[in-house]
Amino acid sequence: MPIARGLAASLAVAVIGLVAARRWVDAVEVRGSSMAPALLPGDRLLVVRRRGPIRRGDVVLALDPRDAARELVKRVDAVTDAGVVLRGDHAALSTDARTFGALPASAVTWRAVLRYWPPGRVGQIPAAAASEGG
Amino acid sequence: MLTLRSFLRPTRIVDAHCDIPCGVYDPEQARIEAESCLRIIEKYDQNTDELFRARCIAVKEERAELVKHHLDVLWHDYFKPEHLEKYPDLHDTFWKATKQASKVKQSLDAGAARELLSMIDTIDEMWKSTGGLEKTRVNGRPS
Repeated sequence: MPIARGLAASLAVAVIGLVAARRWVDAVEVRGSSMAPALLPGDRLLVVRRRGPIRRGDVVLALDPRDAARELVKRVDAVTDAGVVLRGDHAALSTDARTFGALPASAVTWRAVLRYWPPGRVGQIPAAAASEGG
Repeated sequence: MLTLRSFLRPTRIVDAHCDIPCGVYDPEQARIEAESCLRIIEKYDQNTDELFRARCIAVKEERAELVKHHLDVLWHDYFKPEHLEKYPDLHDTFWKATKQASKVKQSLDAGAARELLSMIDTIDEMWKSTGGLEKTRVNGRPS
């Protein structure tokens, strides 16, 4: 019985831990092709709550300035006095800072750290490839 | 493992837009094309030249098609589910207005064109009262 109780307790701790961790680590799925080829539709990403400075080249989640219910996944193109400039890697297929301007740093909420799905694409998120016809 | 799997299930979708919702919407775009249709019908009635009349028909049909296009874009790109709560007849309004645009495309009835304008005005009211004027135009409508 003590073993069962111990197992139950550690399971409970694990569940609580995972729930709490959700605030800092989360999993999201990509829709759309503006980040191709680094991110493709259906890719799943592990994201961490952003803390500290935003760096050029980071792939981040940001609230869509035109519709706060929507979250965008984009790459940081520049960090300027006017705010954070986001770009899709595949410029021709992207709606980004060219449409909605620079964003305040507070709008950049999460940073993508790992592509964990599909199995064949597990890995770090690659740096931006040269854009095809932006 | 079960909890790890559920942890790795995505909690939400993030958008890497593949279309460009530029965010600019205004029923005025449809209205201008519909006004063209009305004026063309009036000019058609006042002119007996065959060639001119043929051009009137061709251009009016093209303009009416643009009315439908602009209304469609407003309908599925600008208006959102929360607007439907405010205007439960939103779908019906658009359906009727686009049907009316088809009618204007097919006929030379100035009355039908005026009716289309008044339907677009109804949509314009919905657009305004849902904040379209402030939210979608770059500097509001030019005065």
